[in-house]
Amino acid sequence: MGLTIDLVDDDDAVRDSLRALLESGGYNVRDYASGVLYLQRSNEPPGDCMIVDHHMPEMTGLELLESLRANGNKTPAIILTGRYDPSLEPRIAQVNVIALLHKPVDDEQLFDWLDKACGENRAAH
Amino acid sequence: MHGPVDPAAQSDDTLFQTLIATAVDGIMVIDERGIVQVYNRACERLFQYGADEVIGQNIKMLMPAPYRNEHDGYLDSYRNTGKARIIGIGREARGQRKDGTEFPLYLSVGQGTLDGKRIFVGIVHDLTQLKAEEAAREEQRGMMASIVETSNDAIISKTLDGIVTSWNAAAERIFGYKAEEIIGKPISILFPPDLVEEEAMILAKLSKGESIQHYETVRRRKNGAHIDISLTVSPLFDASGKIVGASKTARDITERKAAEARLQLLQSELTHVARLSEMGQFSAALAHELNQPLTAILNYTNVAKRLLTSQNPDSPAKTYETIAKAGQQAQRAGQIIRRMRDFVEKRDSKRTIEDVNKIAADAMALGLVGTKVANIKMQTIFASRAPAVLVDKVQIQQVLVNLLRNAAEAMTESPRRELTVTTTNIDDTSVELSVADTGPGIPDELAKRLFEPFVTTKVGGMGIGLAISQSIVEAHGGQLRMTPNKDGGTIFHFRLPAAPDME
Repeated sequence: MGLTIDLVDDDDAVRDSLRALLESGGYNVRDYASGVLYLQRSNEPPGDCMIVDHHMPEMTGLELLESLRANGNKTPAIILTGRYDPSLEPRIAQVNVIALLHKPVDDEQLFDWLDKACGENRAAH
Repeated sequence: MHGPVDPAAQSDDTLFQTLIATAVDGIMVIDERGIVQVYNRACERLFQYGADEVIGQNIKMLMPAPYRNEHDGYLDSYRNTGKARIIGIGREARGQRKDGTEFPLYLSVGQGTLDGKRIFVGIVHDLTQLKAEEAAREEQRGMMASIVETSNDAIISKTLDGIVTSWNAAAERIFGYKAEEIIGKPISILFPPDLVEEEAMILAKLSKGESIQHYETVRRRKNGAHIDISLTVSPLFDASGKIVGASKTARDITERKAAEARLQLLQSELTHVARLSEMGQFSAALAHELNQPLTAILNYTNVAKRLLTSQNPDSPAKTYETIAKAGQQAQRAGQIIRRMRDFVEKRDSKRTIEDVNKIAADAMALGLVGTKVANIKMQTIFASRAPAVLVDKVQIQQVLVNLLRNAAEAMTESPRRELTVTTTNIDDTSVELSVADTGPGIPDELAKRLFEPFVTTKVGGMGIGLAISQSIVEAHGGQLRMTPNKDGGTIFHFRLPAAPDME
């Protein structure tokens, strides 16, 4: 039985293509079109890893992770971003992410980071 | 000595008495020793002495010092040498009244003989009134002259042939010529060579009796420097109403003009900065928008590759679907690019006929404002005779500013930092602009994709500036190209077609 990734991205094409990519790599994917929708999900336990887009309206990826960490959620996370903004680095360090990856992301690189993230999660459990 | 009275002689005598008594001017007669024989009523009024006080006395009593003491000498000298100082002529002199005051007078002296003895007849005309009026006029002239001399504006007069006839202190200061250097010379020496026709226009107006008010123009100082002046020229008339010349007032407005120019420069800089930040924001938004379909395309193609190598029986159908999705995203990216081009080409596309060298100079003045790279040697090699181009000036400046900033940033780590902007006339049909730097140059694999969006050598760069620049240049009928600089570094160049001949 495969690992489950929670994917949060507001762009339909990016979300759909990432889902297809992750599934082709053997992962189960649950996707959400915004941080608010992710927080409103039913009492399901979090997935093994999260992939979160940073630039989203309403709630940014960083804000979503800050909110989750504040509530004790320690799910390993990868942030995707379309533009480089060094001023975010201190805040990113605070929410304990596995990686900050720039779009578009190389598939091999993404799977390497996912292996690392899920491995850490297993070790933590 | 009085013989029997001859009726005719008596009549003559009466006439003589009447004449001297009623004459308005003073009439007196002295003998050759200076003793007064005749002293009329007008003399009494002038000198305040009665005839009884003067007749029989030496005439010198009516003169102030030093004439009083010299008069006997004159008479002696005339008697001995026959050399006249006043006799037969007349001149201005001064009289002294009984109360000791002096007054100016005009004295004419004739000589005659009476009873075998020489006599002198003097006519005295009072000049008090005339002299007072003259002094008042002189005072007024002096006042006018001092107004002219202390004016801050150059006040010049000239003949209708343009010969300078007067030149005040401000004129000396403004134009650098001393009055004695320029009076008598043609005023045209103040005209810059390209403005010599102006004098003909000014003279034509003057000859019609018209004046010229606050006409702003340029003149040349003695040292060759040009100054901005505001000119007022009015015709000068003689007593008969004929135009005989012109008076010119010239105000030095160099400082005002410089302030205006500074203001204008500042305004255009602000416009540029606004344009640049608009371009920066536009680029950032565009980059993010383009990044989404590009990310999706990469993901889909990666999925397709994996599906093709998998053993899953659904694989061909899924591969087809995935590739189709990638294609849709490529179209989405294409639409974004088209929107960008429309935006760049349509907004404010105001084509005007411009001087390429001026556009380049303006872009250079602004191009490096705010860049952090120091010690860049800036160089221009401008075509001396470049055809005018029909362009959107702001857009072309944006391209140049973008190239200049790229060039400056590329040289951050270079020991040699030379930035050269060149304009070249290509057979009068187009003008080539180039921006050359001495940075590290661009690697071959990158050079091929340089004008594509998101391709950049800069850390943190958007990679969009060259793409926008290229589309601006293309919209002007040119092509932005990059070639290696033979001294190391990179040259970006593009051509703009010459404006169609308007004549």
